[in-house]
Formats: sequence, structure tokens, C-alpha cells
Amino acid sequence: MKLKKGVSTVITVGVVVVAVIIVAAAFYLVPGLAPGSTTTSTATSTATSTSTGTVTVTSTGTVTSTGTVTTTVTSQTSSTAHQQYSMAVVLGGDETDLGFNYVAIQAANLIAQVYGWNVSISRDVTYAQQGSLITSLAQSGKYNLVWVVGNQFIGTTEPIANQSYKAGLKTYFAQTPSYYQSLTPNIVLLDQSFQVTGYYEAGVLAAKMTQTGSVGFIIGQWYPSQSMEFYAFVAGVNATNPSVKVYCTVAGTWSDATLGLQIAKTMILNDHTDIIAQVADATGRGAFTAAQLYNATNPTTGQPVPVSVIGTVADQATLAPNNVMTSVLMNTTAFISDVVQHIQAGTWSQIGGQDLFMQLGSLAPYHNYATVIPASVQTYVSNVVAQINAGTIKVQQEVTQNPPSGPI
Amino acid sequence: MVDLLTSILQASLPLSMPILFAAVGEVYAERAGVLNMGVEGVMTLAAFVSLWTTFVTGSYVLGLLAGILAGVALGLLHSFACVKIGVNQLIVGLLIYTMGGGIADFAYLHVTATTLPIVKPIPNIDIPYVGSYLTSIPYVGPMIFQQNLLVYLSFAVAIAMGLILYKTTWGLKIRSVGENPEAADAAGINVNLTRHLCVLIGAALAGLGGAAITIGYLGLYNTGDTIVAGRGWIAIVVVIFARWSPFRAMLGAWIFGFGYSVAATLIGTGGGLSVLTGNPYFLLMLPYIFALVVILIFHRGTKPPSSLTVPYKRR
Repeated sequence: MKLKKGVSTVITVGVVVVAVIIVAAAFYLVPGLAPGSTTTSTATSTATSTSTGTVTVTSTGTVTSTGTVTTTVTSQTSSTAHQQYSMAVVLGGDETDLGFNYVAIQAANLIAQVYGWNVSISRDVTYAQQGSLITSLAQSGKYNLVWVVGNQFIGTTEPIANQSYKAGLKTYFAQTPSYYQSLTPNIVLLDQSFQVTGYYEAGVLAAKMTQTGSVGFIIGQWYPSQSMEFYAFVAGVNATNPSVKVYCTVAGTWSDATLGLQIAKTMILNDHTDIIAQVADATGRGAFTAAQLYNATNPTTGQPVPVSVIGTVADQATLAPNNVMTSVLMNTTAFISDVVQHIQAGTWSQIGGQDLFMQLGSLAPYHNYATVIPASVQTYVSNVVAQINAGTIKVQQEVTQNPPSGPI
Repeated sequence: MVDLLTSILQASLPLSMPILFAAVGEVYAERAGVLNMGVEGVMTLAAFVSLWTTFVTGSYVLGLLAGILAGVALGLLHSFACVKIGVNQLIVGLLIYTMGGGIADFAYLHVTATTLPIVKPIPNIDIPYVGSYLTSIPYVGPMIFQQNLLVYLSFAVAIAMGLILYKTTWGLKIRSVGENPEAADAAGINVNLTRHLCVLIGAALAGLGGAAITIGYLGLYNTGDTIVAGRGWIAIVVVIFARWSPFRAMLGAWIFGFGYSVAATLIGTGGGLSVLTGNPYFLLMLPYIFALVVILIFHRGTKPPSSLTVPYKRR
């Protein structure tokens, strides 16, 4: 009896172990799709041998722009024949966020495809892993560039770059975004004001399209970059229709979609907001659901008004095609392309140790709203964009310690 | 202010719904002597599976069933390891938590390479003839009569499971297995089979709770535990507060749902109560403060099942 039990136990334990091995293997059969793992993609360029000239560099100094940076990327190759460049990308999430991480991965893949770089992507890097991972990537000697994406890495990347510089390592670093001071020459930052003009344009559009006279702005946490984006949005609203009220809500977390839904619902039903912009990652996803479920009420007529959402960083129209008016895009490709080109051209010193002020924000296509937004409004917004690009409209970058306590 | 209170009360029930499902299920598992710390992972996996199934089939029913089955699948693993083999229940539960979330996120990442699963949440029930009258009752009208089917189902399940546990022979067997498995065995009760079934029931209800979040409330999924967002852990706390009773679990789940609704609504006012809403971090603590206060007040008589976490091997 005991022997039978023993054999039974061994068999069952063996089954469990095999099952666990199969599940674990499944994570690694598809490269790069397990949390925290890396993928490496190398674009095979058939034109490497034909390039004899120098690579065009889009800037020769600090890139400062009051307009929106547009990127036209044509197929280019490494400036030195047969030199293979490599970049490691470090992300706090993955492409399913349809936001910061998504656009970074898109940009990284483009670098691989267009410039022929080896690109290795580390997804879902936790706080606990940050320091050791970035350090190991730098010390490995395999990468020309370590590109770190996300606010959560601010204060981690810069000291590691400092240590690498002092150790004489040849790796360059890029941090998106950041506001760190006292940089060593081997790191370049994207300043946190990168979407200010985009949010100004969104404010203009919201002010033109609101039927209730109230628009909302949901923020995950109140950081300087979010402060700038919010006040740029307010500036756009005020410049267009000063009677429109802007309600700001800080959720306190980036990672609770249910909370976001409740917050958006409250803004819709209590504040009558019929357009909601959100910079709140997963929390902001709840706003998309709320827009589909609830209508605002026009306080003048008492009639129900459908609710629209403005997405952030990537084109988020797919989250609610009939309720997403537009999104404030982030042209991450422009930043990283610039960095890559400087490395290839050997002109890193022109950007190293600097905090680059690049306006990467612009409005996404209107998709289903193309027929909803009147042509006159679309023209108006286009004119505003042109004025920003021409420098006629200058969007201020306002940072406050705390969010406003009431509607603006 | 009246509208605000009505809004808070109305939102408290759907916010308590997933917690209630999971808590009632966990009551059964723990009453039989098995602790499942992986409720959060079960809910997360079920949340994705039910959303994906609903998206593909267009059927909420199939989506709910798929969520339940996903829960049962992880429950099988848990019961096999804890009841059959006798592995430490805490460790297995934590592994289940990690595995459930990992599988869900992995599958979602794979799925979103080609499509984005978004569904319209289950709509509220429109009670014919008297619906508009009932929902016009101040404060409680919208709270009680303007909800979706899953909210009513959660309370119905809690009542039914409570009646089974306290009023039926099988419920008596479950309680005896959890209190004194040796005596139950001597009385002819198959202790481990009872435990297996209770763990599976617990996991099935946790799966239903996870499904309720996606197809019953949000209509979408997102990686990184941003959908269940800790409600599985709260369900385990509710079980303790409820003193392992499905009836009291209704109150515990609602207290947390109410606290969460208060926090979210006040945050959403963006300035109506400026001292508080200037600090969302304080408001986000509210549901947990509510739960802590209630537990402190009602801590007397809190005695878990005697053989909780203790594997049973017939001598």
C-alpha cells in the first residue's frame, strides 16, 4: 500500500514538473514575449555595401524647436562600411500600453530597419531590476547606446551614466524623458516638455468642440511634465474660448483602470465634461470606457451630449473608435533618430551631456471624427499648428507644485 | 451634494461585485481548510480569458463561462499541489498569483499583435414598467435598481452559498472538514475530495469575479495587474472580516466597494472638497482604512477554521 502510494506520488509530482516545464518553455518559444526578457532584431539591409557618403545629420547643435519636429526617415546605412551598431532599449512596460512603451518600441524597430542597428529590447523592467539591468547593459560592452524610456528611470540612468563615464566605458546613454542636472558627456536627455505644443493644440480643438462648456483632464500623478502638458492644454482652451472650464483630476496612480472609469464618470455626470484628455496610462483607460457608457448633459438645454476622449502619446483611437476625437502623439522616432545619427556620424559631442528641448507632440488623425469635426474647426486647428511651427504662437511651459484646486 | 452621494452609492455595488464573488469562493476553500493566496492571479487570468472569449464569440455567457473555467484550471493546480501532494499552501498560492498574471499578460501581448480586444460591458438591467419609478427613489433607487446582472448575481450567489454552507448536509461536511478533518474522516466524509471540490469552487468564483471586472465593468484588459489591481487580496481580507461567512462577506465587500467609490468620486470632483481632493493619495487609502477600522471593531470572535493550511493525510 505504501509502495503504491509512493509510486503514485512520484508520478503525480512528475506530471506537475513536466507541466511547469512546458509552461515555462512556452514563455521562451516566442522570443521577447516573456516579461523582462529581451528581443533582438536586426534589420538586414541589402544596401549596406552601396553607401559611400556620410550620413546626413539633421542637427548640428542643440535641437531647440518651438514648432513640432517632423521626421522624414529615408533608408540610410551605417556611415562606416561593415560597422555594426547596437542599441539596448529599457522599458518599464510593453507595447500593449499603446503609449510610451509602444511608441518607443516602434521607434526602436524603425532604427533597426532603417539604420541597420542591432536592437535589444528589455520589457517590463521593474524598479528593483532597473539599476542592475542598466549597469549590466552598459558594462557588457555590446551596446553603443543604452536608451532608457520612462519617468520611473529618472535618477537611475543618469548616475549609472556617470559611473560608466568615470570607468571609461564607451557606451552612450539616452533617457526619455528627464530633468536631471549635472550630466556627464556620455548621456543625452529628452526634456520633459516634449508634448507641450501637442497639448496646446488639443486644448484648441477641445475648446472648439465642447458642447457643454466643460472639458476634463485626468492625470496619473502630478509631475513637472504633466504640469506643463496640463497648463499648455489650458492655454489652448483659453486662447480659443475663455468661457470653457477645464477640470483637472489627479488620480494618484497610473495603474488602476477601474479608478479611471469612476473618475471619468464623476467628471461627466457632475462636471458635465464632454471632452476628456488623459495622461494616466492604465488609469486613463477607464476614461475610454466611461465615454462609451455615459453621456454628459448640456447645462443650458438639458440635452444629453456624447463624450469624447483625447488619447495620449500614441494614436489610441482603437480603444474607442467612436469616442476618441484625437490623440496627442509623441514623435519618439525623431529624438532617437537624431541620437543615432550623431553616434554614426561621430558627432556625439554636439548633444552629449545635454537636455534636448524637442517639441514632439502633434495631433493624431481624427479617424471617425473626421466627419464630426466641422471643416472650419479642422482648418482653425491647422492654422494654429502652422503658427506654432512658425513661432508665431509660443506655448509656455508652466510648472506648479500642486494641481489647481478647482476648474480653470 | 445629493447627486454626489447617489453617485457614490450607485458605484459601490459594481465595485464590490468582483470582491464578493472572490470572497465567497475563498470562504468555501478556507472553510474546508485550504488557503488560496493566488486569488489575485486567478482573477487576472479569468479577466483576460473572459474578455477575449466575449470579443471573439460576441457572447457574454460564453465569456463568463470561459472565465470560470480559467479559474478552475488554476484551481486544479492549486488543489493538486496543496490537497493531493500537501505542499505549503502559502507558497503555492503565491506561485499561482504570479503564474496567473504572467499567463494573462503573455497571452494579451500575443493577442494584441494583431487585434485589440475591447467589448462593451454588460449593460444595466432595465426593469420593465416600474423601472423608472424604482430608480427615482432618492439615494437607494439608482443603487439598487440600476445595476447590471452580475451585481445581482454576486449577491444571489453569496446568499445561496451561505444557505448551502449553513443549512445543508454538504455545508456541514465542509465545515467539519475544516474544523476537524480526523473526526470528519472517521464519520465517513472524504476529506480530501471535499477540499478538492471547495478549492475548485473557490477558484471558479474567483474566475467569475475576474470576468466581472472586464466584461461586467471595464470592457477592456491591460497588463501589469492594472485591471484586478489588488481586489483579489482584498477578497482574502474580506473573508477574515466576514469570519468565514458568505453572508457577512456581502457586508465586507460592500464596505470596501463603498470606500473605493468614495475615494474615486471625491478624486473625480477635482476640487469640490479641495483639502481632500488635493491629495488623491490620502483618498486612495480610504477603502483600506475603512476595512481596517471595521476589522478592528469586529475582531472579537474571529477564529479561522482549525485546520486551515494544514494538509490532511489519513493515518
